[in-house]
Amino acid sequence: MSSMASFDRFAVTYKKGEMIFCEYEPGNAFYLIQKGRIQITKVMGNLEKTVDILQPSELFGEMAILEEAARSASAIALDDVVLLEFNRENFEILLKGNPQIALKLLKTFVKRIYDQRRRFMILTLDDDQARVADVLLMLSESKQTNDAETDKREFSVTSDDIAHWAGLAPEKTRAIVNQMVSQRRLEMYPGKIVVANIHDLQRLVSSRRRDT
Amino acid sequence: MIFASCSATVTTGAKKKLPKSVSYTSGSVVYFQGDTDDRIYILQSGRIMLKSRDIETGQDIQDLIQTGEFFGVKSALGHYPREEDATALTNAQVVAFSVPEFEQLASSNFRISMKMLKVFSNQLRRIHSKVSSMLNTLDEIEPEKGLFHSAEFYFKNKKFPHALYILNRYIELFPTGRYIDQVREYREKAEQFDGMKNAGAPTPAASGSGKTLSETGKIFFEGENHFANQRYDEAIESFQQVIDTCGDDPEYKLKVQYEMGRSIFGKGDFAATIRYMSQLVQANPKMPHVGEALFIIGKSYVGTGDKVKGQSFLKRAASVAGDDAGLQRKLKKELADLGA
Repeated sequence: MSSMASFDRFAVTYKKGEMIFCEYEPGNAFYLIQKGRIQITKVMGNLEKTVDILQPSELFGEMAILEEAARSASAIALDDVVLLEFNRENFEILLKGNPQIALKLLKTFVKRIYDQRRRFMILTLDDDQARVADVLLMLSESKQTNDAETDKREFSVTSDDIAHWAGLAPEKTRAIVNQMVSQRRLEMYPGKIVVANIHDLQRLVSSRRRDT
Repeated sequence: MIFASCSATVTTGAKKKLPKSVSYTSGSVVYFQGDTDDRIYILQSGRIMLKSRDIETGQDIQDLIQTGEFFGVKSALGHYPREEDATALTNAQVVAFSVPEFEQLASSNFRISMKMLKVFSNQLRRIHSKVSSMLNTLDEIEPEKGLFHSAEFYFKNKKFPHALYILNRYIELFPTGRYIDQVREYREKAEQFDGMKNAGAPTPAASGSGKTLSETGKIFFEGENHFANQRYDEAIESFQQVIDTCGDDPEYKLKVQYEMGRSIFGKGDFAATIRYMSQLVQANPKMPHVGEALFIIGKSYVGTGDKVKGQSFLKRAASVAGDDAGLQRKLKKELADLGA
């Protein structure tokens, strides 16, 4: 990070617990963490849900490069943090002086494109149960340590989380999840859903995808 | 998708680092969809065709790689399976980079990164807007309401600094908003509660350096808010100001022009909507929201009493709407109402 010294003029500091930006406000800046951690949260109903915890050298708020759209989540300082703050006007200066950040940004965009495409794939399914199953497949794909020995998969998610990803109403999703529990495809625990056989869900989704 | 517009000629300086030149005879395959490998290619001579399936329509998409153009970048950088088949249409010469070699090249050539960022950001914008459009019909919360609810959540949970940050942002962004009275009341109370432990400290919203939207961004946001509250004349005025000042970002300008067209339609001026949107679509047939734009033109024709043209545009909208389930539903209903 020594080459970052010349970017000191872009440095901003936030104290532990301070909000950097809030969900729904328009954003025109994106950030590179130099020191401390950032918590990304969303308020869903009456709960504040942590979406991610970001470490030094990670980027966030990068969608602001594209347009001044409403933020999709809030960013809160978990520690006293130092961030580099950039916007559409000055980020070329940043990238010229530090091509490593350009690469990091490229990789972040690649991941976001894939994540969005994967999410889009779920939404193209007409069958609601297949959507729920595909959300679980997506979560399974993103898990780093899938146990190849067993077909069972465990996810720390709730039915409402699944509703969010599947683009379905929470009540409808709960009914589908309950139905899948009665079919012995899933087991429900507080804050946790267990898939009995991930390949069974794969078959379900691929049969529905062919139908569409 | 593919980097059809992401070409960059490799300079002589960079060439020193080029690791491996590979020849392909006509008809041979560089890689198949689903393959996993981390090589990034640049075409030196000959013709390479990329063939993939559109995730919306399932139709085949073919892209011809130009000399000097990169391909295989996204799957290699992200360590994902290849999304397309890459085949040599003629005898072709490519240079294959490993990811570290590519990173070295990109680090020494700012132009390559910038071009790719532009391509990636456009791809991201497109897929993002497709996802949003699929979700629109379900639970989209407009920013004004969303901000208010978040502020209320933090206020009620006694997280006063967060509540204050959001309440201040609300007042700045929506000084005449629907919830302004409640927001001011919450702010007064939150300041009292917060002040007890933190007397005199500036609120984060007041101290953050990145909180000032660019003037253009602020006006755009005002326009969106006017639109959401059905104040179409004000929305039109805001969007016009943005179009006049938003500079040379064609994608951004298109987005604002589309919002402008929606506002004219919202106002009920069908003839003006037809003129504006038709011109926009003709000039930008591949613009984002083209299905929605055609839908609006169709609805406007119906509004003027020309059901035949209306129906024709609604059918065109249906043919480009692909898997946009929300739009397809709206179109189905409109066409059914017209007896089509």
